[in-house]
Amino acid sequence: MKKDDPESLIAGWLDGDLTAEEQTRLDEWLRENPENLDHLVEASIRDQQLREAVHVFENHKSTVKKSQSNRLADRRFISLIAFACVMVLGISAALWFSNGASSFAEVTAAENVRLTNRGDSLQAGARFPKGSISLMSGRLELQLDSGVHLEMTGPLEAELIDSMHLRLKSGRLNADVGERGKGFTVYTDAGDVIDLGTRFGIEADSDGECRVAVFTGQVEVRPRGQDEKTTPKTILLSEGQAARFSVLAGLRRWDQVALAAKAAGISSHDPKGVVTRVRDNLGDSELNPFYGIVENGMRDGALAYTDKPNPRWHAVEGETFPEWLEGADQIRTYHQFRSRLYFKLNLEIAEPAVIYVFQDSRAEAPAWLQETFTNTGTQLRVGPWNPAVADESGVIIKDDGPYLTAIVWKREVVPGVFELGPPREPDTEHLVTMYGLAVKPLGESD
Amino acid sequence: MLSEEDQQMFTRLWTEDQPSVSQYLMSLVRDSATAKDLLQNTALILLRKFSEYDRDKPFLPWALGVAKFELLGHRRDQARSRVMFDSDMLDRYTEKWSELAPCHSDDSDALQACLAKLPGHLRKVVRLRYFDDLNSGEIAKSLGMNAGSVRVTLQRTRDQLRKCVERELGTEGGSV
Repeated sequence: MKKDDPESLIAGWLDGDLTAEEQTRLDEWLRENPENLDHLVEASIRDQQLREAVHVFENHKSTVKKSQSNRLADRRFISLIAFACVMVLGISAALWFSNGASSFAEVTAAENVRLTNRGDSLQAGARFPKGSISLMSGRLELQLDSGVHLEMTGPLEAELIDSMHLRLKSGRLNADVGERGKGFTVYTDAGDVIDLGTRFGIEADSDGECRVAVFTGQVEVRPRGQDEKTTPKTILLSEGQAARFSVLAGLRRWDQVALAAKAAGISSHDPKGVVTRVRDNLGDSELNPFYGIVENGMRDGALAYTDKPNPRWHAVEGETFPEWLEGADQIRTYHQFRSRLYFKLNLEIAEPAVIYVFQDSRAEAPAWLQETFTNTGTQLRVGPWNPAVADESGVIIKDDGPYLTAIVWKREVVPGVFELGPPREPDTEHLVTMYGLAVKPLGESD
Repeated sequence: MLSEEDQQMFTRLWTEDQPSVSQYLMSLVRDSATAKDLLQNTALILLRKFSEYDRDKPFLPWALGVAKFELLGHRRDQARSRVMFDSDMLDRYTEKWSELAPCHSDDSDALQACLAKLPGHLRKVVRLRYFDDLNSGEIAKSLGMNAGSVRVTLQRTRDQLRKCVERELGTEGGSV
């Protein structure tokens, strides 16, 4: 097929099957107008992104198939290894009783820890034996020999199998997996969570539901099916994404996660703040992203988004952080939704309160914000961002990277549900950052 | 020897821009093993020369500049190389890539969703092209089509995916 028009020449170049004559025509076309190169590079970037997307898609499918065939192979293999197990068990038991309980972990912090099955006098530096962990209350941090760091909050029931495997029966914990700890697996009644090098939080209920939220990196979630014939989809979760799953209800969105204020991790307790519900209009088509609610979390240095590890809210240069914002309940939004044109976010507020929206100052505020909120005249600084934005207008360059500013808008509300729109109007010339949110009970504001 | 602070900064910058550099190299050499080798060499050179990097400028153009020289060094040996530009055009291609790539940083999320919506027969063609790395002629042979039809199908599928991503994201770029 002879390629004469530019689109065919670009397609041929992407597919690597241009003749020398066609390549010459492409070169000539590229030199005719500088904008022609834009078309080629755009197409090339999209082509490479498609290549990566197809690889992720196909690898994901093969992971699911592998998991299904593994189950079949497992059943055949089980009978073979059963005999070997009996032999090994006898030897292991003898070694176990002669050496005492093995340890795979060291205590790095223990605050008000009450354990039902062990003495309560745990101290940092002590070795922690493998086996069951029955934490009635308090906070226990363990450094496993694999490099995995676990932060557990009571009440929690778990079993430390070895330095790469933990069974969580109920309770919540945050795991920070180092390079050596990749593959660390948490088993729950609802399914297994395999870490691919990340920081994640996990909650398991005694009634069989499990919830996972990822703060950096990726985890693979393998929900358990109702029987051996039904194998639910294996999913990959990246930073800013979360899911809930159980044998009975399957995989569902976990769109609202209570987060700890001081670091990326799930909160040690259920929120009792002024925001009772955060829900967007994206429904099941966006299964994974979550909104983080940080009770009393608004302060200088608060992490801004659930899917970005770096940007934080700060006072603008030369000013102090607004006192009336400090201690507000913060909602960490999902930054990638900044580009959704038909995005809507509903906030359910439990008591009279002020909703604050932090809107990118580089573009005109969208109509819904101007019509229902008031500009406070206060600005915040947010960053650091990718150095690639350093050349854009309105960027403040600091030692650790570029920063942007956001205008604080506010609206006083009574208890109820309030709808917010997208962060930009469809005809805005360029993308803006996703807005940030905070809510403070009316009596505590101003 | 880099200070601990410099090492942390390099890790942060490289982690952020490595996918874009990798895609740039892959766009110009068709062989993924060669692209991986070039990427690895680029990373080593960037690390070695990091003390020369001007912190007031964006990292991606600097990294792409190093990747381009690595590419030129291998260019003569690559029989299947897609690079047929002269050095002036390659310079402009590289510059344009560093300008446009950050505008597409949000596309992957939407692209996954759009890929899942593709009808099975189109997904099969896309799989053969991008996963099995077959050219139009090889795909045609495998599916009992002619190569011209495969090219048209691929082009229409790419257009369909582009429109789907644009529907999700809007058509203008951004780079935060």
